Amino acid sequence: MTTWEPQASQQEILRALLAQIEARWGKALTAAQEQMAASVADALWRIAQQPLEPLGDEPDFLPIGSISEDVRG
Amino acid sequence: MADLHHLTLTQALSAMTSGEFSPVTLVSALLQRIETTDHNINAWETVDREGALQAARASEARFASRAVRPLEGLPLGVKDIFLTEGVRTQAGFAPFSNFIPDHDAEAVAKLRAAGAIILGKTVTTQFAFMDPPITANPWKEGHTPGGSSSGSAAAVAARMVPAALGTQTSGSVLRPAAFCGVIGYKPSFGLISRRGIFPDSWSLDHVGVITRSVEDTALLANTLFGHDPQDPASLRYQGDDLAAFLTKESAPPRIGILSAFLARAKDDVAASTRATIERLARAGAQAEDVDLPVELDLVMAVHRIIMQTEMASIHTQMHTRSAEDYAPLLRAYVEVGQLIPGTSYVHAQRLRRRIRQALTSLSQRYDVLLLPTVSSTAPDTSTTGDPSFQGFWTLVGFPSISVPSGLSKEGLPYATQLVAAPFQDARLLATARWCHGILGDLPAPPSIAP
Repeated sequence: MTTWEPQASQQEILRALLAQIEARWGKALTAAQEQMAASVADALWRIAQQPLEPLGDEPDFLPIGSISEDVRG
Repeated sequence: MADLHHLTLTQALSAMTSGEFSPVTLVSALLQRIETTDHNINAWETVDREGALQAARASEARFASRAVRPLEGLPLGVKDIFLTEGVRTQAGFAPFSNFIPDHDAEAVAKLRAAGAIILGKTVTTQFAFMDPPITANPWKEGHTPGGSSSGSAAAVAARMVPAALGTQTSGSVLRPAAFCGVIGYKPSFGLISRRGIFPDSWSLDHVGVITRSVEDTALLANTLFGHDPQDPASLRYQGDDLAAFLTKESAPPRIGILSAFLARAKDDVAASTRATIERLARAGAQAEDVDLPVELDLVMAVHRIIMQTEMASIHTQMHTRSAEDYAPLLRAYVEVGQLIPGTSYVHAQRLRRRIRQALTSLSQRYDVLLLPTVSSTAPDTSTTGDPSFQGFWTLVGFPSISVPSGLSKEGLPYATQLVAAPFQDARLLATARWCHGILGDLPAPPSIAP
């Protein structure tokens, strides 16, 4: 499996991610790649547990809230 | 003149203004200090001896003609990830070993225009990521100085320079400042231009400063704040004159104690933080425990997905050309980051908004929120330490500052982090000054020459 379902477990996401790494970067995974994959799989799983609404859960691509340009300190 | 290397920026400016010594004397003393001290620390990537002395001579003429600028003659270090005109900028990356920029990063240009003198470039971990640096912790051999602004923090702690620029994408200003026993400040997102700094993550990168006094922090921030139309994230700040704000008598603050972080910290760090809170309370601060409205692990998961995706995007082409030149952790970070789905990145950005709203409401109830800066004292040199307690606030762009708050039995610094509501930077610095006044300065690290 090289992709995962939205309801996948951490382990399923990790297995899929490791398969993707092998496919993209070669079979012999480095220790650092395995470490990164575990952290990313955990993070992907955690954010997938958080349902969002189409309205009201728009992204802030920059952490400045509703302020556009002028701010008052 | 002896002991000029112990002066803060504010003290040095006052002394030069009253004619006690000149910028050339000060710069010469610090260059000498670097020469005698840095072989044990490795805080400097490049020392611009000639450029600094030339600037000092020009500054001396300005003092003579009374055309003094706000930072006239004050020496600074600059993390080696900011472009500096005529001075090599390597970012810890071997293929950049001959790269000499033809212009300054905006932050550096502002400091120079205000009269500051750049002594040189301080060591950064490779591209300000988490692979360990060559720099040593001035407090104790075998312990990390933290990263990624490793050289900036170590140089300030070892009295080689009174202040230095750093950058923070997760915890890269506050954590090394904490491990090295000095002050590290990261302003609200958008207040200091990032133009001309090699990016890690466009929506997380902040410029910060490392100093030995809160007054110096305010002095530098006053110059650095300001709108830059060429940085898409740059805001117009309508806040107080920070240095003037600090001269006002400040009342003891209302402090929200984030006990969830104390529960995650090592026992000695949690105990030290509780002792710090008691000292502040005895001096009049109103402190109470508050619940965190968001889960720490979720916040760091959101931070990871955003930072790793943006960093992978930034490095994709260069990694294709020069993968072998990447340090192991960064290389893996970029390679795995390229595989994060776009929908997950956007999901994380949407969650960031929720998290920011919840934390804004909490932060507005207090002058500052308080937590340990790092979960442990400086660990061994195989790591740069745990970024989660600092990165938490970087994700949402809140202003944060680390002040030293004691020494462990091993002789390593403890530090306390204060965080204010967005754009309440003046309030944060005023509270930090009050707290630092109660907690006091740490001595210079014992392992270095006095």
